[in-house]
Amino acid sequence: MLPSCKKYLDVTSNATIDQSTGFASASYTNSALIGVYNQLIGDNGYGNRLSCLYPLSADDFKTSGSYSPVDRRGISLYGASADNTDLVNPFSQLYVGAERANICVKGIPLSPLYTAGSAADQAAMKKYYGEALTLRAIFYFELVRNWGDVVANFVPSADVTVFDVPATDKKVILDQLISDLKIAEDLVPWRTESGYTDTRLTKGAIKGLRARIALFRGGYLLNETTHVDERSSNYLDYYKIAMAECADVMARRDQHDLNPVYENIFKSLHSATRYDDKNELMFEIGAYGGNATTDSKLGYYNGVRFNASSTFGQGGGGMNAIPTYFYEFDQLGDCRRDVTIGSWQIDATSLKSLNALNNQTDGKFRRSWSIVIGTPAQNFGINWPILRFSDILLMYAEAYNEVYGGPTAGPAPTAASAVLEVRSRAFVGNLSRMPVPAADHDNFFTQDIVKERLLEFGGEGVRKYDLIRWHLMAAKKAETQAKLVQLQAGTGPYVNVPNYVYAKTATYNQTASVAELQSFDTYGGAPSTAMFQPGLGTSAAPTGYTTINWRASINTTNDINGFMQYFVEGSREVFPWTTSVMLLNTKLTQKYGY
Amino acid sequence: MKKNVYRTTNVRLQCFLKILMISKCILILVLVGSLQAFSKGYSQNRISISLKNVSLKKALKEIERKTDYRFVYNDDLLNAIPETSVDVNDGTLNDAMDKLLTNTPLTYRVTDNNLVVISAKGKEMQDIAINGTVTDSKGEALPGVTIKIKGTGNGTATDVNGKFKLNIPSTGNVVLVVTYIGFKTQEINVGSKTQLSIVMKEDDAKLLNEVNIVNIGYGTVSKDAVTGSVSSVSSKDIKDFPVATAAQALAGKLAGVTVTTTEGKPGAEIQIRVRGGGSLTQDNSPLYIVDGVQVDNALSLISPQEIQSIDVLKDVASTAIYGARGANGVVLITTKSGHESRTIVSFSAYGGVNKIVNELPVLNPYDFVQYQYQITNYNTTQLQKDAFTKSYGVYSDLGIYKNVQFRDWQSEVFGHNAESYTQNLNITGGNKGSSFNFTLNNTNQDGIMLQSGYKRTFASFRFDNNASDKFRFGFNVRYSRQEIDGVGTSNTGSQGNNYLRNSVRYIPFDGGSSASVDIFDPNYANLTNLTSPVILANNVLNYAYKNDIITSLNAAYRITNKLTVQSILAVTATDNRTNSFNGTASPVARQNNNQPISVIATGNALNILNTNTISYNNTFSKFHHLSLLAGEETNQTSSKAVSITTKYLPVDITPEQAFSGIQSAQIPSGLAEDLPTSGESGFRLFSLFGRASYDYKGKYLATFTYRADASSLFAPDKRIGYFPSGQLAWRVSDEDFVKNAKLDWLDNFKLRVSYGAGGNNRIGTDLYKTLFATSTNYGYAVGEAITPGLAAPALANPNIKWETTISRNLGFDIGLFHSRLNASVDLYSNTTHDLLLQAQIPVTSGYPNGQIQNIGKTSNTGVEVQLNGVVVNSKSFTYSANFNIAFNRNKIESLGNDPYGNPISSTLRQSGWVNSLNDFSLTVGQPVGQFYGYVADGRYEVSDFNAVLNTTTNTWTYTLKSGIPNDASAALGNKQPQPGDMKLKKLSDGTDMNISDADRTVLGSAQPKFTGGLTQNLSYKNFDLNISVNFSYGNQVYNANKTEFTTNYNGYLDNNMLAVVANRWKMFDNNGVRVTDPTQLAAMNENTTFWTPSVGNYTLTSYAIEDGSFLRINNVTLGYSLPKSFLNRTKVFSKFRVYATVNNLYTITGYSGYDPEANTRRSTPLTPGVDYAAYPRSRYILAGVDVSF
Repeated sequence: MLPSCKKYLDVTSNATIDQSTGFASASYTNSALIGVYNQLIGDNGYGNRLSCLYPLSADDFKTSGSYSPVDRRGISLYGASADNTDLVNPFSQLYVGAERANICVKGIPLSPLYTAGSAADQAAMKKYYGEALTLRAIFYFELVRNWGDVVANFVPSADVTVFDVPATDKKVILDQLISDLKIAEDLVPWRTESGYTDTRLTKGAIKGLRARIALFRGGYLLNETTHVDERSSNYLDYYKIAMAECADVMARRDQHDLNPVYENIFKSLHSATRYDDKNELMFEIGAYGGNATTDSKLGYYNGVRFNASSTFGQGGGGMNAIPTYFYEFDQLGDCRRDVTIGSWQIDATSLKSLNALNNQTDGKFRRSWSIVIGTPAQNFGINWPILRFSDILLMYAEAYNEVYGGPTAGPAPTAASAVLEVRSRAFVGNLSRMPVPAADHDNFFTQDIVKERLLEFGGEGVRKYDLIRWHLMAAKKAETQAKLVQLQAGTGPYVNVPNYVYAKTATYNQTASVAELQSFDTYGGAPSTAMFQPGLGTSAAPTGYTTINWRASINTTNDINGFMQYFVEGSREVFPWTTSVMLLNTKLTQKYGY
Repeated sequence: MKKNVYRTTNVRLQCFLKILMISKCILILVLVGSLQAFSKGYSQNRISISLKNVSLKKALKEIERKTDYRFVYNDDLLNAIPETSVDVNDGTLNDAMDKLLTNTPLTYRVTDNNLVVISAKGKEMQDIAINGTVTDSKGEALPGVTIKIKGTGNGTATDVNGKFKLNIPSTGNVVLVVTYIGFKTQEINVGSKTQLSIVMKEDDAKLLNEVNIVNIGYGTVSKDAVTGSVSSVSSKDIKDFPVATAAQALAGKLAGVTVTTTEGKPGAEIQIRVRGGGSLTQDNSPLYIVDGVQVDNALSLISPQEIQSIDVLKDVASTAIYGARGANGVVLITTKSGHESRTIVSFSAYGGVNKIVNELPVLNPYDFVQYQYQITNYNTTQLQKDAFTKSYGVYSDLGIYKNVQFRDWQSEVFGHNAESYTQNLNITGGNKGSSFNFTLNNTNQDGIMLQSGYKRTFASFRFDNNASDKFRFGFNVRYSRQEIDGVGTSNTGSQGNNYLRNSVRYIPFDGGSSASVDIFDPNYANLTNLTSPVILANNVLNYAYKNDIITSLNAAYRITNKLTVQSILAVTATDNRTNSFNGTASPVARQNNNQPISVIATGNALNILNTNTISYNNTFSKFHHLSLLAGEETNQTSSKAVSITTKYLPVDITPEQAFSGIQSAQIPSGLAEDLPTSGESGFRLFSLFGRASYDYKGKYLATFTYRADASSLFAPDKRIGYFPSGQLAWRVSDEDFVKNAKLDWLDNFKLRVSYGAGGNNRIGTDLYKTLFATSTNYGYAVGEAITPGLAAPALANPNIKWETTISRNLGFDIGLFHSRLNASVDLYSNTTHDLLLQAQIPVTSGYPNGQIQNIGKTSNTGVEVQLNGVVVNSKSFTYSANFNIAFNRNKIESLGNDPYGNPISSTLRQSGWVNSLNDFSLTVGQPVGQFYGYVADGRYEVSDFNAVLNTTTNTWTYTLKSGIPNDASAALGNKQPQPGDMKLKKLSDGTDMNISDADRTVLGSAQPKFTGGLTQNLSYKNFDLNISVNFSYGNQVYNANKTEFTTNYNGYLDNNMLAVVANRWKMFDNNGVRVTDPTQLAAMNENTTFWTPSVGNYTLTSYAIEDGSFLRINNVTLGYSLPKSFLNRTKVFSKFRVYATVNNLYTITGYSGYDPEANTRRSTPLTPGVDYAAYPRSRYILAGVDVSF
């Protein structure tokens, strides 16, 4: 009676899926994995906060608006408070994602299909296992690079009895991720063999992510006890990992290669129409569905500014380019500038007008490239790029330069050749203006790695974390502020930058970005000329033109002193714990300096 | 669980088979019984009997069992006869008797009613035929009165004229026992009389509707033997209530049982709570048991006419026999069975009109336009000012609106006379062996709101059969078919789905900025956020159908006089379907390409219950009475649901076409239909229970129960809950010292004390299992579409266990003045612990919503008093009254601990009528349901400001004086206060005068200080009058309507307001010119009372909290019955009564809304007493007739 009574009381509804039942089926396992990917996107994932708020500011972009410690602007100015409303939900979403990944990481290897299924099932389950490990690594990497030492948990919460635990040293977490990704990259096939598009993880992407995490691990990390950014003594081991992983990917140009047209990479993020046959986009976060959970606000929050009354509907404006950023690019040769920076906006009459120098936006996201046009919608289905092939080349170059002590000191392919590959794509058609890589380690690092990555990845959420691992945050803050002073005054390298630019509004041609900017009628020559010569210098515009404040727009309070205003070395590399997190965990102490 | 899905199904099947096996045993029992019943019917008075060496008595019993013959004899005579044998095959009585009585000193004689008289030879008795009549004290003949010869089973009953005939033995002192329901039983010494005239006296106690047999769960006891706290009503208490459901008839009838009709909508939920209810997050409904079978919401499935009695077990010691389901009280409903009588057909019908009781007064056209002038001219652009002029004309002409026809939308939507009819047919009867009762009840009720109504048909058939002395069985079949039409006005979901606002706020005349108020204009709808309530009522349609079939089979076998086994097998099937349609003008369609949408949602549930009990009753040494009960029960429910939402239907489709042709949807390119959804769930309960009752001389009584429940709702190691209880009672009045005192006025005095534990398993399924759920919200855009994903939505808690209530009860029952006054008083203290609450856990767990844990604790303590009295009982006039009052104090004892181990003292909750408004506080030491918000402080007056004159524009600007609280962010939508704006009180310390969250406080509570009712029955000759009143005192109501309808939310134009806004702060002079001069402004507003409606978000302030005390005259019925003497002459009717009733006649209350009883935010028990968009209550005036044939 008793055993049958026990059975009688074991009620299982067919509408619910027990976790072990779920992993006993390959299709359910795939669905469970989709549930993990799910936590990457949405307003609290790469749909908005992780992509557009957390990586700011650096010397490329900042968040528009003035300081408030409790929202996105406090984050951008490195002055977020523990009550910052933009920190709470992404923090918990990352942990939700990690927990969902933990469930898969535990459940998949225990599935009978994993060990005893058909060959196809076993292959699929192994691929899923690798994806789960990688997704977990993405969530934890995001936690570590934003919060430093965090609570780490690599088993499902159902198996955990105590959640009130202290934070784990970030080095321990990162080492775990690097070893997890080694397992993952061996299980997940290359893109063409996996049947996946680049919204899902494939071998190349995992290798690239492992390289990225290894470089971060080998870089300067904030020691939260001593409040010093320091680098592990064995850091070169991590550079070697990164170099090896990148070399593997570079050897498979059939899988991933540079997209010959820089602009097309970003256009491909905007709709089902792809302009990326070479699959430079190695992993991007899929967005769709018109909601705050599975879609993104890319192009609505950030990107080129579209007036709500225009035929396109509202878009862009949440991110502002640092005024000096425009002048980091070559005046004529580098096609990346006009893709990366939104120098113009679309007004209520759907015409384009030039932005003031301190009011330029990021440009890689444009509502006009999306298919959601002219509605009051806020979600345009625009994907977020996590990893591109050019990053593989530049990571390789960086690691090579460290490992061999110079850009050409080791075997081919050399660091210099990798940088040139990236740079020559940018200077396509203007190769004569292309700078030559430095020959020695230090100059190569400064001019060809630090600078090139600024130009290549602007607005892609990369720069801030590069500066942290290079221990260059404070230096770049000082350098940029000094440059801004010069720019405002029109001195130093900015001696030819005009105080005012005079322009006419123009038809939005929706052509290539370089041509789009050049099609403005600016007084005193085409924009690439007018913006690089002193001009009339008066606020009164010549007849027919409108005055655009150029140097004159630069504001001492916000643009210069406000740049990374509250950044303090030794503490502000990471965000504070939010009050709600502190309330429920007695083992955490507030991050130093908050 | 390593099994795949198919295997799981097999396991379920096996379990089902097991249930069938159990039921098979019962089936066999029943079949055997039926065969016996049939064979008896067949053989009638032919006898086949074969017995060896049995006592003569046993042989006679066997004949009695097989035939209609009954024997009359003296035991002593028979005991003297040695054992005998008999063998007759299809013989006559004479054959058998001759064989049996040979060689005995006995003889026999058969009388004309199959009575066989056995007597000693030579002392044969002469039968004497007597006859007589039985009347009541008024001389009316009483039909159906039972007359029995004492000491025998023999007797007869009176005919319709109250006459009877009976043969009695000629010798000995023959005593007749005369019994009739509602009258005192009499014993008549026949003596030498042959003609009797018996006058029956009404039993005072019965007059009081006293129930003398009380159902205590799995058994009944006499009222004297009750040891727990049980409130009962009998059929008489509710039969005269012409209400749709029995629940409504219970309002105010039972001490400690509150019956709340949540709103006026036909078919609206009626909440029944016993002693407050202990759970915070789970269902607090009591358990309903109908004739031994659990039936959810039983009172809405049974017509008042078919109820024999309702017993509510209130103390957990009494409900502990129901263990895991008993924490919130148990309502035991016994339906009428037939009894031995001729077949009686009764018919009753009533019909009448429902009418809205009151309306919310709104601005008339002139005041409305004045108000629109203000909002379009105060700090606005010229464009907006011009828009007003274009819509309504120039200010100087606004006087014409005084003569514009007022459109009373509330009247147009809720105002019509809603007719309602109910018919009830009852056929009942039975003979010695079996009885039946059939009821057919049909109600057709038109709702007072357009497109709403209620149709319902109940059919029930009950059959009981005494197959033999030892075996009886019966079955019950009940069918209920209900249709509720109309979407109503309130919705526990978001604000947008609550529709009352359109009836209150829509422009109160035809004209102005809308083309015509009777034509739907999407632009106007966007401008105002309103749709004509008439158009909306015809565009948002809802038809809910529900069919229930409840069948049960019961059988009992008496193994010996002391030992009985009993089984019940019940199958309950519920089928429901909701068809809803949103036409083009509905808000939902407007979000979906302006195309209609239909939703067809179906669900069904199947419950199988099997109960098997064995009971033992014995008396030892004359005074020690012991009864034991042991039982086993299995209870399983499974339910399934399917829902299909079809968007993008053709714009001109009718609702009927939409429901029958969803394939006609025309999906615009780029859009997609929603996927259908389906689901299933189930749970099972296996229980063992026992009860031991003991009494000594009926004076000292003790009852102990113990139940163990194993439920599928919990993890295997937490499955079993144990629920013990004990009850003691002392009938003080039976003590010799009381008896010797000869207290003539004291009939009965009993003290009771009890202690027990009960559980609440009305919780969600699978709370202990971590499961995957699927949702597009868990999806991911692999391509340009969402691939749905699986995720675990909650961190299961494998340690989930029962919410348990411990109850202590002390009470006494007293009967005074020959039972003219009966009183019961109970004091109780209940604590409920292990309450399920969402506990906060670190978000690093991956579950930011926390985890459900057994951490809460609440208590309810109270006093209940129930008084029944017969005030006057004269021949022609009777007046009886039933009064009850209950005081309950609800308190939250614990909300669990924070991670530091400190008790959590308080949390805030949202009732949800407006997004993100924390308007309820949950505080340890305080009751559940405390309204939380700001204290209103009238409005800002001119004197609160520093006024500065700008000489160029000649206008004054106002800035708040220091020290005056500033509620810009709390109530004014971040606009700085100006004279006339709503002002709030600063409660927190500190110098910052900005009103913030810290200035909120508890504004009141939905918990009443006391509740109760008074029912008065009067009869004068053939007239009867019933007046029922129920009341509640000391509770507050959260009148969210008032907040909504006095706030200019989002600055929407053309929204009407409550009439109170007419006398608001004046800012324009009589020429429509803005006044800013401080002196002039203050003078203008000397007599205005209301503030400027805020454009901020809705905020809870003390303005919306009102005293919700009420006294409701619930029912007044005046009836007239035709005199029996007259009916007797008709030869057709045995009863004929006509009556007129008013339900919800009048409510005495200070509450300004529709009705103070409204409770519209019911998704958790934490947010009671919110009147938000409740459907208005109506008054029902009706007339009816009751006829029996």
